[in-house]
Amino acid sequence: MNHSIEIKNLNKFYGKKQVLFNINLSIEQGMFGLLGRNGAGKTTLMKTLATLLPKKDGSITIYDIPIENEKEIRNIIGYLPQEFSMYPSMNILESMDYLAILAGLKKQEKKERIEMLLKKVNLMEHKNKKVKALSGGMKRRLGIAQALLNNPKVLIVDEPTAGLDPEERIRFRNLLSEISQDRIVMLSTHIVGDIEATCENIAILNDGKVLYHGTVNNLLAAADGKVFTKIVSRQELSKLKNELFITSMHTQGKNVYIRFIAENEVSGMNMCEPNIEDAYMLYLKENGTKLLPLSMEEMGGENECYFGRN
Amino acid sequence: MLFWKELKKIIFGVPYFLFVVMLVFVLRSQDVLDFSNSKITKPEPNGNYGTKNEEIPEIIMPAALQSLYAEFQENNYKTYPIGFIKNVKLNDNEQMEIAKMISTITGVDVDKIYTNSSHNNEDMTLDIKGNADIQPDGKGGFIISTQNNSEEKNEQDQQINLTVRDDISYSEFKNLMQKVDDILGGGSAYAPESLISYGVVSLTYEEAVQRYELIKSHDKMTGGYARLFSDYTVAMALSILPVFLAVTMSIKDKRSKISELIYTKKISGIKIIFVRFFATITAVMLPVIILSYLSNITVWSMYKEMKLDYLMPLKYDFGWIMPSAMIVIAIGMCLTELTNTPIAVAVNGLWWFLDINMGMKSVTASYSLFRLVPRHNADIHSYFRIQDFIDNFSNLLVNRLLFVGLSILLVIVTILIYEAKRKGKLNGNNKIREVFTSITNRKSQS
Amino acid sequence: METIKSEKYLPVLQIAKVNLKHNAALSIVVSICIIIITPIIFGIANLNRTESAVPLEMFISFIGIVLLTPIFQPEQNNEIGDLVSSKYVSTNLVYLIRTIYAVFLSIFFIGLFVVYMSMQKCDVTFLLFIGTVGNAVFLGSLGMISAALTENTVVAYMIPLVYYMFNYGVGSKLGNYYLFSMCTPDFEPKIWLLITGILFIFLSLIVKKFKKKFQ
Repeated sequence: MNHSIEIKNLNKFYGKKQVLFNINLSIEQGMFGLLGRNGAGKTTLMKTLATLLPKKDGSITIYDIPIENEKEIRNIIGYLPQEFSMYPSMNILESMDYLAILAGLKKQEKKERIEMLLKKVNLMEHKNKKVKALSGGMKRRLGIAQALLNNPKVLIVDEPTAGLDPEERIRFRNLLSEISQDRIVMLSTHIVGDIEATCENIAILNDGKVLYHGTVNNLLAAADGKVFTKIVSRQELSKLKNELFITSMHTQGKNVYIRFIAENEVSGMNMCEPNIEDAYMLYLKENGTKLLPLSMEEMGGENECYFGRN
Repeated sequence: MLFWKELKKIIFGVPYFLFVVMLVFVLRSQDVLDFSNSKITKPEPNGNYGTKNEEIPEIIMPAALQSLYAEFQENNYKTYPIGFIKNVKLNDNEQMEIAKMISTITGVDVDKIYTNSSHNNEDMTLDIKGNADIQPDGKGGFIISTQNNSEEKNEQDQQINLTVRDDISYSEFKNLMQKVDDILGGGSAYAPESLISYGVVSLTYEEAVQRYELIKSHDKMTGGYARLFSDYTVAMALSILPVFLAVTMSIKDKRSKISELIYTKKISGIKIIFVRFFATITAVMLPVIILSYLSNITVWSMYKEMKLDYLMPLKYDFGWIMPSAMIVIAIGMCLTELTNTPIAVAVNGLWWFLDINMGMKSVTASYSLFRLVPRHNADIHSYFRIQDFIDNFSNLLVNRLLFVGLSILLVIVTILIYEAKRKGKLNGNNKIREVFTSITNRKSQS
Repeated sequence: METIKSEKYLPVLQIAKVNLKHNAALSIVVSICIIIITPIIFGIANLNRTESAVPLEMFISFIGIVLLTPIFQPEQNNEIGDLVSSKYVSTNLVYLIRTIYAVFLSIFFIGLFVVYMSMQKCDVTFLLFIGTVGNAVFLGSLGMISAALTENTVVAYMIPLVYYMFNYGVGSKLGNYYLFSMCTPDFEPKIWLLITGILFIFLSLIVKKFKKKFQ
């Protein structure tokens, strides 16, 4: 059996507007990251894989099962949408129970599995809480638990860390890594840090097209020798912003520490190891994506870099 | 401007489209969009001018007695406590009471009357069953006519002669009938205020002329048509349909998850709620005004020589129709803001249902204080009922003003709810839902 | 690693149970309210056959709107819809289960009321009962199909109620789709209402099933 997701020549339209262009991907076991800006088509691709959206043409097989075979596909996948909620009157346990019924679990199996999963995601003591009363982190954990009910071979998780605090985010990544031992975990994100911490294989999606598909290392290698750092004053920065392709910056008193990508030398700069953020930005740039220069306000924390400016 | 934006939001929605379609369709089906076949002509001598009800004891007493005796014999009394028929069957003691009453009125011995009744003869009632015929009268009520063959039976079954005693006064008779009505549980045709329905007399030529002159001078020929239009518009559309628009509008913020976004904006609750209220009224009244003129214009050419009131439709649109629309919209907004559910549809629907089925029990009831739908409808006689309208005008006025006041009060309550929710003080939705879920949970656990 | 289970059992009863508790409870309570309210509004003692038709056709029929219209409502919230429709058991099956129990509940409640009426010495017949079910199913199916097409809760309730009002205004001109025909008394329209109602229910389920494919 082929333990992979094979996507061949996938096209998808919303009405007349094409949103996915000729997607070809082969996804093996382990963590797979789908990186892209907001509106790149990540959610559409994931929903298509989760049988929630029909495909226009091309073919998708998951573990050799064609996607048209919805029932069997749903049997082997777990899906956690970006935004989800449950019937307002249900608490955690009732939600899990109902979703387990829908997942086709038998009575005994269901009970054991729910208990095991709720323990795993640390929600056992909150099992009587209403879903809408949960904090962002708890809700995500419930989401993961429900997606694992049928012990899926493929777990599809859309923007799992959006809205989580840094601590919750790290805990969540670890949980996903743990889960990915013997299955495919496909996660989409626009937060580069998520990918860096967990994924070996990634794809970059931009405007409905796959820009990159391969390992993180290869992506990094492409940026080798092109990433530099420099400390500049604020006055200098406003001038340099238009000349250099800055990938991140941090204020240090009156000065600003910047990382940027350059082909030619700039006086006073130091070459450095590229990180995945640099590599990603470079990749977008080299593939003709228009990126607006960053402003101070737009910079996030160390591991968090949002790409969403069009 | 906010008003136009809100108006646009309503007008371009599916519920509004359905509202307009329904309005036109219903009014067309009731033939009130074209009155060109309903000319009011000056009465000619020796014609038939229809009937009227008048409180003439000499006519009412025998007619009521005859009807009572027939029902007594079958022990099957028809009453209309709320508007729907209720068949009352009396026990022996109560039947005896009725027999005594009939005896008092006629002077015939009680026992004679009682033994002639069907208290021990079930077949007779069964005979009547199946002959009753209920027909919708096309104006929100039902005509229930029983093919009454009791007269024949009277002749066959007994020889007692029932006539009202000469020495019984009308007020005594009324008192007795009140007692009958009490025994029957109310809502019978014997209730003193309903007795007039037995006083059917033909209209004389002089009266018909007088009526015509009144239509000319007071109604300016156009009023009767405007009234009939208003009657149907409120009954079949404006007393219920606007609630859907109000609910849709109020629930939209929550559904599209922008209510919190709006909460944090500068705009005051007073402004946003009032603007929405008036936008909905405007949206609702716009087609009504247009249709009222399209309808009234059809009669203008029939009375070329006469002085017409071209503002008549407008007066009725605002004076008669709009208050009903206002109260319905206010209920819709208030309950939706409070519960975030479309429960207002059920509440208003029930009110509409009860009110409409009260029908037109009597002219006065048609204009009574809490009528959501004032009625002024008597088929072709509607145009001629100007005297009734004048007589009850003050009642109508109070009723309409009451609803305008109530609707503004409800809008103010809506604003208070809105502001409280804005400050996070009131989460009516959650509370109501929680109470409800706890009930259902308990139920399922037991 | 587990092998792929190609045959899972379909827990129809369990799905019905959870949905009855969490998604139908309000409808059931409202239906019971309708049953309680009816004898208060209408007299229901000693009615003959045509008189008995009045409360049944005009009020008890609402139970159909109350129970059938909200069948698709819970998943109209996309956040819930996405979650449950990625599961093995198809959402269409859940809709079917809800429809079936809603129809059975309607029949049960109407039956309950008819029995109560006959205890009050009303001349109710099996035909009256079936006719009322026909009314309820037709009105409810109008709600379902409106909900399936517009995905708008208010519109979904509005259409059957507007149709009901329309019957008040237009009356028997509606021919075989006249809701209050048993008062006339004419039972033939009830067959049409029932058949059309069942047809609409299937149509709305089909619309729901195929809507996704045309996104």
